[in-house]
Amino acid sequence: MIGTIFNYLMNGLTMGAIYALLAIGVTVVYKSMGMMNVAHANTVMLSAFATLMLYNATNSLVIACIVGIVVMGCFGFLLERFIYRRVNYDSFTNLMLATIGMQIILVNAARAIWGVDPYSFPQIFSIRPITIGPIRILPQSIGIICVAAVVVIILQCFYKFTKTGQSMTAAATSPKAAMMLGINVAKTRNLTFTISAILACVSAILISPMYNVYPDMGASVGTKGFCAAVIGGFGSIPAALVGGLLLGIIESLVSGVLSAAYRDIIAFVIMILILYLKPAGLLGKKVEQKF
Amino acid sequence: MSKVKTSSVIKLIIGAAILLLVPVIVPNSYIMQLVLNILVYVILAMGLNLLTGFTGILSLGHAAFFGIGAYASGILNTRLGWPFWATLIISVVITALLSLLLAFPALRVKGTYLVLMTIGFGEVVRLLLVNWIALTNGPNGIVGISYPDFGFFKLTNMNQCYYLALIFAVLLMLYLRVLMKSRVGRCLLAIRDDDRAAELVGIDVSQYKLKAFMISAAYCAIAGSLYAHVIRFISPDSFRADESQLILCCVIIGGIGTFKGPVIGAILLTIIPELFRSLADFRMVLYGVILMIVIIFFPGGVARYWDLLVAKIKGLVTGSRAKKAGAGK
Repeated sequence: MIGTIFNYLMNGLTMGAIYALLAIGVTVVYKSMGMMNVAHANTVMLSAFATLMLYNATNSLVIACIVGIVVMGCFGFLLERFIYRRVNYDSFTNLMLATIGMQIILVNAARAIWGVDPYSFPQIFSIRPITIGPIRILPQSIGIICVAAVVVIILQCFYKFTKTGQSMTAAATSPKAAMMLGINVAKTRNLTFTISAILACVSAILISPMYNVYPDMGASVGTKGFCAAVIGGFGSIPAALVGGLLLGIIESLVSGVLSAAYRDIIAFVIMILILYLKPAGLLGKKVEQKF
Repeated sequence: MSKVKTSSVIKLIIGAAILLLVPVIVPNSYIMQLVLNILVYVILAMGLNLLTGFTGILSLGHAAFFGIGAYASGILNTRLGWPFWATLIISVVITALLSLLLAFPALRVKGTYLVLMTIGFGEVVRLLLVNWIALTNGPNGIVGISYPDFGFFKLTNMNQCYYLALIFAVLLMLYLRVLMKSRVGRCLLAIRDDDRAAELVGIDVSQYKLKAFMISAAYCAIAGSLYAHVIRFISPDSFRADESQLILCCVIIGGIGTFKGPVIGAILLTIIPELFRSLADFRMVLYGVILMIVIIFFPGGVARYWDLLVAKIKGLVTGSRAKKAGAGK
């Protein structure tokens, strides 16, 4: 009994950590540019393929991950610099449509280049469970949760304590005021996207061993990343973290207690409820009516 | 009566003639299927345009209404043996009522949150279609839906269905025009432009938003019924998030908030993937690239640049004629 509940919790926290990383990736972009990056899940997919290709070429997981992160960072940089910047930033609809266009391009390019069948990704953490009495812990779960925690801590420190991070927060709060203070808002937007792409790559490295790598992999977890961001509260990293973890745990409990088929529905139902009852999310203060 | 120019009457007659002769002109059934596809998307895009372009509520979940309409028709037809006209009426009613489940919560949110709510609604409906196997037959879909049957007249092939779809598309387009010219339409436009000001002027914003949702959902339900009875097979795969995105793209690229827009968008977004068939797997990438180009360089939608385009083409034609006349002298 204790064992089963603990397993649900562990599963929930693991998935929750992944949702949290996805939610943070989306939140960072939303906070800074007011843009809903629908293509974030597809950036995750692209990162997964890139890292996999690098691993096949170099046969070293460590090198593949590091180079993959750098490459995806550059990808995010170039994407914002040359494509999204040309879309009018005042128009929320157009920005979202641009990300939808990007999504179509990424998914179909991946299908064309790599085909629709899943590729397997090497395991990073051992999958042999550690057994302590009735409790079974997968090292993978612990690994994912730790990585997510480290990432969140690093990001929070970056935004709070470094000058670049602070100027990014300022630019996100009020671009005009930031410009008057001499902050290069365009550069902070660029950097935001780069960070988002790096987060996508980290998420990809954590997800791929479990889910395999295939062009449509973004679809299943991607939208839930948005759900997590909404539940926690769009616009703040700790909120996204809490939202992700909560969503993961609730999903796991529901699927264990009720039925696995309706596991996916619960995420969206909760999201709609939160949007109806408290759009700012559980941790948000008030709804920022930017758009 | 307003003055009607002879040239526009002639254009109308020629256009109508072409539309009526389509089954004769079209060389094979594959292209006819494309044409029917265009008509279905025209209706879908008009429905979404009503909500997004004229009332200002952006929705990325409209495939849900398309799906509910199609499945309502499919289930009533295959399980109870109801003919098209009956399933159409019931599916429209059901979809309009179910749309209130989204419309009521949607009254309270704006912007990104509203879009997320519509996405969530779309996903919930899709997941129900996939998992509620007792009702919907799950991922296997529903087969064997019958062609439209009006009792005294039974449709038997796609060419006949074309006329049915054409009638619906034209009627729905006319209704939209009448609606937007009336007071209701003006209220919706006021709500789009500034809903707080509209409230201050005395417009019951909530009531109009709910109505707009219901009519928009009804349009999608009609498209769904037509789709179910013409293609005669439906599955949850046709009603995913990318379907919602496609409908929105039709509206935005065609021209949001215009009358020509949905039609242009539906035509363009159906034809372009076909034009690039030769590129095999890469054609959808090119499709995405073209989307991006339109979004970046033609942000209002093609319909808004249509007049510019037509004027430019006219300018080229008259320019060359003037040159010839000038050279002749």
